[in-house]
Amino acid sequence: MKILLVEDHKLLSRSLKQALEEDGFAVDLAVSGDEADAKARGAVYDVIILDLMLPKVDGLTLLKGWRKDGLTFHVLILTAMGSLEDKVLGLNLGADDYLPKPFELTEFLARVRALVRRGHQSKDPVLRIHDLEIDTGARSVRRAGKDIYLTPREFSLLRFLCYHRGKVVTRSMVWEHLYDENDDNTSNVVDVYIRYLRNKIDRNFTPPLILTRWGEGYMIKGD
Amino acid sequence: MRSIRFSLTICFLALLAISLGGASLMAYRSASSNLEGRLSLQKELAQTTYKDRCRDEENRLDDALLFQAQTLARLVQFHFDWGKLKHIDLHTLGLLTSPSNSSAYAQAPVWALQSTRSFAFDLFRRATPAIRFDPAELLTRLDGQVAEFFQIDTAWNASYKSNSLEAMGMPINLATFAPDEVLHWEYGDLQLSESLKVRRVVLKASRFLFGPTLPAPPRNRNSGSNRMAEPPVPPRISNGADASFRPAIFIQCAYDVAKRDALFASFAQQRDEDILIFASEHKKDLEKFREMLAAINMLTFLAGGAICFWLVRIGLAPLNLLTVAVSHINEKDFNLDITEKQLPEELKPIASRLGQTLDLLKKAFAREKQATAEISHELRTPLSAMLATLDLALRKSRTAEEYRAMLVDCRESCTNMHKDVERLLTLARLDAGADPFRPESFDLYHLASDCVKMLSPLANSKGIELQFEGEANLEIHSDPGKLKEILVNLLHNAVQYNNPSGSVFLRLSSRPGSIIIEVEDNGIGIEASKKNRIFERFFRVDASRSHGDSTNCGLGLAIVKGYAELLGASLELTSELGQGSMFKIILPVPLKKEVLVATGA
Repeated sequence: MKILLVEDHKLLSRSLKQALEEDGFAVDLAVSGDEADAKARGAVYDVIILDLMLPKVDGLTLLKGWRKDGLTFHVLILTAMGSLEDKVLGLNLGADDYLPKPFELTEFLARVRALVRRGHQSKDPVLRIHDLEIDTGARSVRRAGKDIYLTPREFSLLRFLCYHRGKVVTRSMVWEHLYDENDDNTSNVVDVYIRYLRNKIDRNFTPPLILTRWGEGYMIKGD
Repeated sequence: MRSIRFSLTICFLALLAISLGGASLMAYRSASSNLEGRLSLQKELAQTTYKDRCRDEENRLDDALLFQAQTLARLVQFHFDWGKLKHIDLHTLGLLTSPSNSSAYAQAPVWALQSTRSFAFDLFRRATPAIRFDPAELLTRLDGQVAEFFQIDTAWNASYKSNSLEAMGMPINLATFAPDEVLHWEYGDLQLSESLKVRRVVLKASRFLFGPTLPAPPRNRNSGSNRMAEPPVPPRISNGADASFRPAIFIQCAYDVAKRDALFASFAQQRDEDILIFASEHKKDLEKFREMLAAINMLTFLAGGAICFWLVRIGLAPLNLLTVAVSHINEKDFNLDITEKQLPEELKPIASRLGQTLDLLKKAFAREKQATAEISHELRTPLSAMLATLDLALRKSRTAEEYRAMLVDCRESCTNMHKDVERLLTLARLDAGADPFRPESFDLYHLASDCVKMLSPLANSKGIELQFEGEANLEIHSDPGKLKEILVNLLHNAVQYNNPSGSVFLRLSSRPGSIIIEVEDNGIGIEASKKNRIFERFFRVDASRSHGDSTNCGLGLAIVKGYAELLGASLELTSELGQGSMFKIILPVPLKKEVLVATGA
């Protein structure tokens, strides 16, 4: 789950990035309009969080351009302009959600998660596969009634696999969606995290849910 | 104030009423004077008619009197000429009975034979030398019954009086009454008694039938339709010899004036009635005219009112147009929806001025809106950042280092917010006039070097050279706090908007009566189109909110401008894009040094 955070206030973007990462999202940052445009067109993002008052190119212009060019990622507008007209204008120009500043961090994260769910046509925040339950809202995982603790990266990987249940997920897909621009792209980092996940989810339970497709990637069992 | 339409209509109606009133008054006066003229003419006519009738009546009566007198005279003459009795009698009586008919002469003898007690016979028998008449007989015989009183006097003292005269007599001065005339008559009024006044005719005739004959009495006396206009002219005979031996007889016939007067009175009454009728007609005509005038005035007034209302409406239509256009203006739409072509000359200045004002207002509103957005953005963004950071800190337990980093971040955000709030408050105080000019004496050189020192770390961190030159010991009397704020702001901007390894100059110089402070940089410069706006609040050359590490909410230069105005200083900007900018402050203060020198000398 990869997110582009477009915000020119340094402290705000830093805090939001950290909060999102702790929630298991990969976050890229952009501080100006043109930078945001370049990144949005160059990489795959599930959600773009967009401030409207930006240097060089303002947020609404960016949004209009993206929608015009057929880019379908979800956009959450985050701005200090919270009047009804501004909200309506933003949503009418193609935004999926609108959050006026100041806001509660929990609400912000909930809205981001909702947008991610919407991106995967999933209404239920709790993903269930066999006896595995993943609560994306509370960020908790249980298997056969037992709580399992996962790090954000592990959780993010499991959630990604679950959103693509029954389908093969390649390493590059994982890479694109789960790692931000600052991570080192070393070839085995995905395999390492898969091993961690298997240790926590499959080792003490049957049947194993995470399967390896040699030469292709990994997949989690569909029902 | 009342409506223009109402006032104009009232004015117009008043004008209309005045002119109508004037015209009506004139028309009424002329018409009434015409009518008065007509009335007086009618009155005059009535009076003339009355007089004519009276005169005619009097003439008729006079003629009748004369006729009777002549008849009487013939009878008297006949009385003495017996030999001609029959002829004369027949002739006379024929005349008396039917004077208008010439065949009377043939009938007369028949009358004479039938009447055994003929008047002529009687007269003949009795009146020698005295004259006797049977008054009743006389009256019946005499035509017209005009005369009631008869008196016959003769030169030989024989006389006759009708019974009606009773004791009264009608005196004639025989000696003086036409002594030379044989035949003569005169009319006159005579007061017989106190209560009786008569009109008489005195006829002097000859005693004999020969001599000057009496003129034939008017034959058509009673025919009415063909009355004689004039009494017969008495023939005048001026033969004194004849007169002496022809004894004269004087015959008087008279009637009571009261009868005539009664007739006259009836005429007068007729006249007065006529006059009354005329007067009432006059009054009616006047009334009619007045009514007509009133009706015309009323109709004209109503028509005028309606036309005026209509005209005023047409006249005010452009104003209505403007009103409608203006009424469509609201806080969302500031366009005056009207073209100048639609308006008359008088309203064009209003409309164009209104349009300009609305444009200004529109811009002001847009600025206001922008400013509100800016303020909310400036305050909300750091607030959200702090909130997010604190939420993040509280989300789970962290290491002391992490907490510390977050607290440091929050503190920095607070400091920035504090600066912004202070700037906003400074401007608010400036607007409210709550930031007074606090003058004191200080060394400007010292103050300027302090400012330079304050900004040196920032300049150093950006690799910018900060240079300062100026006269030392520049003692002035001004507000150091505000001057410092101005300098810090300008220097900060100069450092902030500079190219790496650029330079900034601060120069102080004094002139008599003023101090010139220049802050110059060779940085990015300002576009000519933005030069005028750079002192506006929240205006940023670059729309970005933060430039590098420092916040910029676009208030610094607005504060500089406000303070410069407060200090009475003029602020000039020369700038070229890519070449750098220079802000020049001309501070009109007397140099403390100069003052000291002047007092010392």
